[in-house]
Amino acid sequence: MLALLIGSADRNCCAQFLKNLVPDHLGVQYAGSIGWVSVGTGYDLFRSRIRTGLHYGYLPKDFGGELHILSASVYCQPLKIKVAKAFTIHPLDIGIKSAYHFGDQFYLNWPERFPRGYYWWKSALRLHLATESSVTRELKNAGSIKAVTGYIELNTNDLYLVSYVLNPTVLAITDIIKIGCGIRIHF
Amino acid sequence: MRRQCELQTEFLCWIFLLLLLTGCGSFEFSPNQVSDKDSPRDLNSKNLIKLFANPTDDTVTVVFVGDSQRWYDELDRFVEKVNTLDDVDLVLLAGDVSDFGLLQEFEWVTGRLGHLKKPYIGVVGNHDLIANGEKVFTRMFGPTDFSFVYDSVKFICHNTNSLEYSNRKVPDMTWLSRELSGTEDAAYIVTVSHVPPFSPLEFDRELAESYPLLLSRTPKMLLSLHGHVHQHLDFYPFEDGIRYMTSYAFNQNAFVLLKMVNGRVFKSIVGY
Repeated sequence: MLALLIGSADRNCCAQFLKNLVPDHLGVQYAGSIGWVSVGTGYDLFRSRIRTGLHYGYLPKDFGGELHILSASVYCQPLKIKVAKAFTIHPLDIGIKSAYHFGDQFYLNWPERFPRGYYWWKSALRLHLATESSVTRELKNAGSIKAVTGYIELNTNDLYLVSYVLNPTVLAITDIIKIGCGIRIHF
Repeated sequence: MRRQCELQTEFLCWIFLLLLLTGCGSFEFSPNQVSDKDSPRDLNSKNLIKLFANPTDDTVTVVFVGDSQRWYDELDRFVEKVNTLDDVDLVLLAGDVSDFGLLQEFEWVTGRLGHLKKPYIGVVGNHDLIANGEKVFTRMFGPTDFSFVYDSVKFICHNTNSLEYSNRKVPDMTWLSRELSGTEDAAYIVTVSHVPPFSPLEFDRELAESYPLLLSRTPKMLLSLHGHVHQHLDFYPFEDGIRYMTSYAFNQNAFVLLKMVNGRVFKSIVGY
């Protein structure tokens, strides 16, 4: 009897654990400095106050590549407004992204032929500040899909920020703001 | 009902604001992308067409400058100043157009240089080769090794950024020696490159002797022009009769104006 109980508890625990592992959302994004198109997934944490994501992006040669980019993001979702029965907007989520570029021309560690600190940044890794504004439509009869979100993302990166801070009178803030947009489905 | 209406108005306002915001920036695929729909192409050959359309007069007047990297404010004032000088034939930018080798930086620089009345020629610097920089540079400006003859002077522009390469020898000595010897249509030679041979770290140590030797054995050599060191030098470092000159960087708010007349070089420093 005891063994049976333990066994069933284990199964429950396992199922719960596996359920927790299933990502909370899947998405596809156009531009936004992480590829011409990128696909991603992630989790909603702390009662959806925090959203994490992992994206793989591809930029074909015809659009300025070829590039393969892996990026990770964390967004804080401080404000949501329910505007209609099934519609919620997130006016401004704030996040950071890091984007790793694959390729021999990009370095995470500069080769030994360069003296230490010769170039102070890592050419393979860009750090981005980003905002996201979105509209979410809740779905009632769509199986496991609970909601669909459309969003526009604005971002800038560490090296653009350095350029801007050193040239605030001649570069406009809009010069360093780059756009992306995408769709995300929530489970 | 009223509440619903207010929310919908708020919703529409918000959409409108968002559309307005998207008008402020641009869609970017990656900071490391090689090109976008607006990036210029083959600027060096386009500027050479402009240069050759200019009538020659036995005097070649060159604005010699380098290292525009990250100094956009200075770049604006530089363009303004150069545009007041009517007798300039061309502007030579001796490398480090960009700081991080990013397309956006190249566009910020060429967008400003595009306001120059006179043609400008870009030479590749070590910072222009970082990340995807070499692909950006070659698409936007053209090959990293090239030459042209204007009014009896042959300008040989080439890549001397040895430290950036592990898989091949830079500078390309075979190409350079061929260019230095094939000079039937020119009376004088000016070489232009970013890293000077007297920069011990960045210039290939194995070529540090043969490179100046090759120049010194070229009878028509007039000047060897470089950037990189961020200070203006004008001297004979190898005591072999070859005059080496380095440019001011843009943060120094000055450029070197060179007038070449029948093998003589008249130099002046212009502040901006």
